[in-house]
Amino acid sequence: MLNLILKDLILNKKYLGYVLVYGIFLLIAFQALPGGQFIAITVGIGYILMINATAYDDKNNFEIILNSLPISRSKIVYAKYLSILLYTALAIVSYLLAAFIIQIFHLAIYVSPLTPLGVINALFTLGLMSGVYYPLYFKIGYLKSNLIRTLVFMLFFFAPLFLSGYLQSKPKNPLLRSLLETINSLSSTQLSLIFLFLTMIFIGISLVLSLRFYERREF
Amino acid sequence: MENILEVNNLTKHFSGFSLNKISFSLPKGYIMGFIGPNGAGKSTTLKLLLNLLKKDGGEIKIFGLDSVRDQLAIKNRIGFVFDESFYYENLSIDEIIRVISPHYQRWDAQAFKRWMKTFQIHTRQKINEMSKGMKLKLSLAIALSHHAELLIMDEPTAGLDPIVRRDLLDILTGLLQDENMGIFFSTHIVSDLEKIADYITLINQGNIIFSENKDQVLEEFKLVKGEKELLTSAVRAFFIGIRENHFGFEGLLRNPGLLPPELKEHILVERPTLEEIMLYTVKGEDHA
Repeated sequence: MLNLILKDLILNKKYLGYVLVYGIFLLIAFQALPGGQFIAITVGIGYILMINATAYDDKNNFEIILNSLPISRSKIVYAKYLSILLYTALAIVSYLLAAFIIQIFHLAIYVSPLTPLGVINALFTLGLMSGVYYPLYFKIGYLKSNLIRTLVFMLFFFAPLFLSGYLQSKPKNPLLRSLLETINSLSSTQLSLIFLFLTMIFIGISLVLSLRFYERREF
Repeated sequence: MENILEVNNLTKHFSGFSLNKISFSLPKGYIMGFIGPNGAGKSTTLKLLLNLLKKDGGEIKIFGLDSVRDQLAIKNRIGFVFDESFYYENLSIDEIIRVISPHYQRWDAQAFKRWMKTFQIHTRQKINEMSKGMKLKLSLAIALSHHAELLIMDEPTAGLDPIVRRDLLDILTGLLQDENMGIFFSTHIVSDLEKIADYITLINQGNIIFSENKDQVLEEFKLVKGEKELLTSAVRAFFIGIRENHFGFEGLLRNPGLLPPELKEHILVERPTLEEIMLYTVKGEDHA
């Protein structure tokens, strides 16, 4: 399985050089959103790396080779889910390198600090996005899932902004109001734990679906 | 003789095409040519052998093992060559090998090095810098460097120049010095097989027409030429396929001994090529 993760790293090698540049560029782009700077940047970079690896497999029809090698299909699926850890790590390294360069050159760019909670939130947001994308990829491939993938990406970037705007407008629905009050009464750690728990259930369901889809896939 | 590959009543349905309970077998130590026109079911069969498609019925046994249940054990012992390269275009050969080799239990890095040297290919080269012939040789080298006992090749000679084709056929013939090996070779360029195949399996529209020893096929099928007037409806019934023109006819049949004795004095009987056998069999009466 480690070899399959390594394969995705080799495929992404061209982009690894750009990752640092992305980091600096995104740090500047997200100046207006200091609270969400870290998560937006790491998730953005991690998502690009994840998509790239699947794009290479599909565009080169490499899945035909992969499925002709002595590898079980379930191993291929598990490796893709595990590689989310690698992409998150690479994205964090790129963030840290970008922050380091900004510090060395005393550039007037705000960099939000790296916190353990931020890392966990980034990992699970990326997990959530992969959880939506992977079953689709394992069922129909990268090229055919183009439109849905773009929509998912847009949804993840704009939904939080839209949702926070809507919630700040104090909705009248009593159920929503009581839910909001409960959420407000929770600490950020408690909220993160709930988020983690729900994400893990979601990734679990996504994994089961991916395994089932890929086992039945024909090439 | 022990069979290295056995296919029994294999069935696969698509909308508009079906593989209809096909059966054939290949003994150890031989090359089988799998021939048929485009769309006959060759690639479908090969993909079923590799489990890239799911069969709807029947059984495939490779090395006596079940192709679905024991697929990992089987895939460790088979090599495959497809009609096009499916390797990442922007990776070098070294990188491709780093991706592929750990998955084989019996990967032999020294053997791969030797094959690359024989084929005069530099492993730092990127896939997109290689010709079709070089890509084919790379696929072959990968197949041979994990000591595959069965080579499955899908149209490997399509689009290659005659020199590379000849090279490939020579290599394949050389490989068969090892009596434990088998080669299953699909192609529509039938002349290649005339030189190297031991068995021929002809498939058309999802049905196996015959699967036999090549020499027997070439011996038993006959190409008959004669004047058009001889072609009565009773005579036509003997032929598998007939081609007619203003001057006469040319037809393929098996067992020319069955033809009426009075006819034999007026006809010319020749040994057909494999290509002619395929052409007449596929086209039948419509062959023109």
